[in-house]
This record gives sequence, C-alpha cells and structure tokens, in this order.
Amino acid sequence: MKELLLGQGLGALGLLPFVHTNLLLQLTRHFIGEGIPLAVFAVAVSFSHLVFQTVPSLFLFLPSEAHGMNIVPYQEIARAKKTAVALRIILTTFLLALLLSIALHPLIQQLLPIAYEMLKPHMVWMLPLLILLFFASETSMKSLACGMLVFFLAGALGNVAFTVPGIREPLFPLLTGLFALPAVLMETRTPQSQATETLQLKLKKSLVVGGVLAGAFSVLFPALSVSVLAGILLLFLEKKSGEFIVLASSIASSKLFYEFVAALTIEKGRSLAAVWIVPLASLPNTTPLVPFIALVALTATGFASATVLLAHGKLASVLQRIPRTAFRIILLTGLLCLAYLFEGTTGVMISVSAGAVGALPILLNTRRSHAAGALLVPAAMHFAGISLDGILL
Amino acid sequence: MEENELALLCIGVALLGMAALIVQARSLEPGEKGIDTLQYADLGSLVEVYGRVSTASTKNGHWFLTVCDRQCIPVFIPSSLAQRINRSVNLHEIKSGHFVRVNGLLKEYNGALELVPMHASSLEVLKP
Repeated sequence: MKELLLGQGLGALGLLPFVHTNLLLQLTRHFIGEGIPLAVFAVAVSFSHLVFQTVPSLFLFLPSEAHGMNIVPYQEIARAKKTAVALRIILTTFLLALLLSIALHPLIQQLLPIAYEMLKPHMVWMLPLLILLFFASETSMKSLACGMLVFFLAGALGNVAFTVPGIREPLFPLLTGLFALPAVLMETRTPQSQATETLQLKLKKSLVVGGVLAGAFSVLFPALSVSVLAGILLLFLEKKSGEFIVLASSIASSKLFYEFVAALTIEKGRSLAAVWIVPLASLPNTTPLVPFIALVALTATGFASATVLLAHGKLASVLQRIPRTAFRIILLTGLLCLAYLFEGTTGVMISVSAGAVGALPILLNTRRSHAAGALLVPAAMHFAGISLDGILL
Repeated sequence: MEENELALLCIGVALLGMAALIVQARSLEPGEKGIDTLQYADLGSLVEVYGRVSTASTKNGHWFLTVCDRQCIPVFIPSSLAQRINRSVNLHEIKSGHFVRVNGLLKEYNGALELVPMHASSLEVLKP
C-alpha cells in the first residue's frame, strides 16, 4: 500500500514537462525494496505518470513521453477551445484501453510468440514499405517532392540527433523543435482547414481496440517506441487529428501494460520499470502476478485520472488569463531554456535545426506528418542494421 | 518575406545546424571510465572502457560483446560497423578472456546501459 501511494505521488511529477519515468525511477530506486513492493511501485509510477503528463501536453502543447508527436492536434484543440473535451477523451481512452488490455491478455499472450516468429524475418522491409505507401498517397508531383524533402531532411536530422554524443534524451529537443517551436512560432500561418479538422473530437471504440492491439504487439520489437509507432500511424491519420489522439492514447496505455506482461511472461524488459519486474518471472508461481499488476495499474490510472479531472479547471482558468502573445513568448523561451537545461548547447542546436525543418511543411503547404521522418528513418535504418555512426561522426 | 524564401532559409538553417552538430561531435574525445562507474547520468556521452570479454556472439551480422571489469557492460556493434571493424580487427577471433578497449556512445537498451562503438577504430584488442 505504501509503495502504491508513493508511486502514485511520484507519478504526479509528470505535471512537470519532460520529467521522464526512467528519471523518477532512477532517483528513487534506493528507497524502495525488492520483489513485489518494487513491482507495485514501478507500475504505480508508470501509470500515474502516463495520466499526469497529459496536462502539460494539452495545456502547453508539449510533446509527451506517451504521445510523442501528438502536440499538433493538441495545439489546434486549444485554439478551438476544446481542451477539456480532449482531456476527458484521453483519460477515458487510457482507462478503456487498459481494461481491454487486461481482458485480452490471456489471448494475446498466446499469440505474441507466434506473431514474433512470423514478423521477425520481414521487419527489414516492413517499415520502408509503410513509408513508400505514404508517399504513394500524395496527389501531385509537387506535393510528393515537397513531402520527400521534409521527410528526408527530418530523417537526416533524426540520425544526427540520435548519434551525436552528449545527448541523453534526443527526443525532447528533436520533437520540441519539429512540432512545438513551429506550431507556436507560426501559429498565425497555420492553414485554417487544419484547425477545423480537430473540432470533431469523438471517442471511437474501434480506434481504442486498434490501439490496444497495436500497443500489445509493439512490445515484440525493441526499437518500436510509442513515438515511432505513433509516427507510423500519424502518417496515415493526420487528416483526422481527433482520431489520432484516441489511437495514440490507446496505444500508450496498452503498450505500458503489455511491457509489464512481457517482462513476466517472456522475460523481456522494454522499459526500465519493466526491467525491474523481470526477476519476478523466476518465482515458482507467476500466475497471479499479471492480475495483481493489472489491479495496481487500474488503481493508479483511476486515481490519477480523477485527480487530473478535478484539478484541470483551475489550471485552465489560470492559463486562459495569460495573453496569447506573452504566452507564446514565454513558451518559446521556456522550451529553449529546457532544451539547454536538459541537453546543453547541443540540445538547443538540435531544437533550432528541428524547428527549421518543422516550419517547412507550413511554408510549403505539405503535410506536417512528413516530419515523422526524424523518427522513422533512424528506426528503418536500425532494423536494416545500417549505422551512420562512423560515417557521420 | 515570401513563403519560398522563408523555406529556403529554413533549409539553410537546418543544414547548417546539422553541420555544426557533426563538427562539434567530431571534436569530442571519449573519456576513459571504469565499467563499474558508468551510470544513467552518463547516458549519451562518449566513453572509453577497458575490460575482459566475457561473451562474444553474432546474429544477423550484428555483434554482441559483454565486457567486464568489476562489473559488465554489453557492447552492441551494428552489422554495417562490424563490417568496417572487421577490416582491422577480426571479430570472429575475439574470444572470452580477451582484453579489449572499446569507446563509443553510452546508450540505453531495454532499460539497461549499453555501449555502441562509433568508428572502425573504436575497438582494440589488447591481449589475446
């Protein structure tokens, strides 16, 4: 019980932008015991953090660990004054996806090893194929050329960002630059059509189911983080930003749960929290562990969601009093300061370069999802075993 | 400023930024560290370690070494880099018990630290 409450409280630090779960776990490791208490703590921190980090994403348009590149629709939702609706949808999706993941886990647990053997030999070409399909959906040569320019420029930058030394977490400066900086800086240039698309916010149950399945099977692939997975889906779903939010939330919740299931069943830890759980897999009887973890996850998610829903009104009223121009200046300065604080001058350089790439889709009137190349190109190269480390640096 | 001019400016800034990042990275020298002193705070830094090979295996062209001193660290060599390393060091000849010096980026994989060499010269076999 103590570990559950501690984990719950620590997860609330997700309110602070870019405070990663791993950082919280590392800082507190020495204060928590081993075995079941450690598992309870790790699960509670992870799920509580998942919920609380939604707040800075929604109200400050910052990329979160869970949603990765979801900030584009967030910003548009704020402009359409639908933040409260979006918050309710996201939190409901987290809970629904978690419940569905728990219900489906006996079946998915059987299917995972079979799917792994089937997909493993084809991973090298699966990601490039998805990218080709995306380009094939362009309607003119001009949009194809502009899209490819943005995609591969972002891909080159992604490769550099993931390779240069001195960066602990390249995703922060990279995603901030690609999505947050241009979105805030070029707010007035964003085509109106993109803003109105997100007005249709609806919790589609089919997307929750799809997200749960995508999240469950994503644990098979080591490089397929939520950001990369969300990036692939973003390629095909950007035109319906509201739907993307539901899908990404469902993936985030399901993937988190299945990371713990995978740690106990196939002894693969895909995150630090899951790695802590792996030793429990050697216990004589692991059967009751998954339902136990499910219970802790549900408690943490439910409690955190209730807290966020109760408190978000006050937070929103404070934020709404801030003049828009001042808010943009504060946000831009704050983002660059955070990039410097976390990753030094290299982080600022990545953010500024990524900001330039992220502004291109707005200026060239092409899809902003092309900037996902920053994650997809390095991921495709990873699967293909291609490393530019020695060539670039 | 016109949209096209701004777009050209953005491309220029992006390319210049990438070039600056590469130049800055090339000027860095790896810091020598004991394997037991490596921690998450060092993630992303360029480090050099010395130790005894505990395990060496290959799969799909990638190489996986475990280098130990008082503690152990996995070393992952992607296939493309392994090919370049093989021109100077025959990876197939590295066996358990060999002493090596490896430098590379300290990364996180599945929640644990791992060292990823960056150059063909990043791996040196000291004593067979």
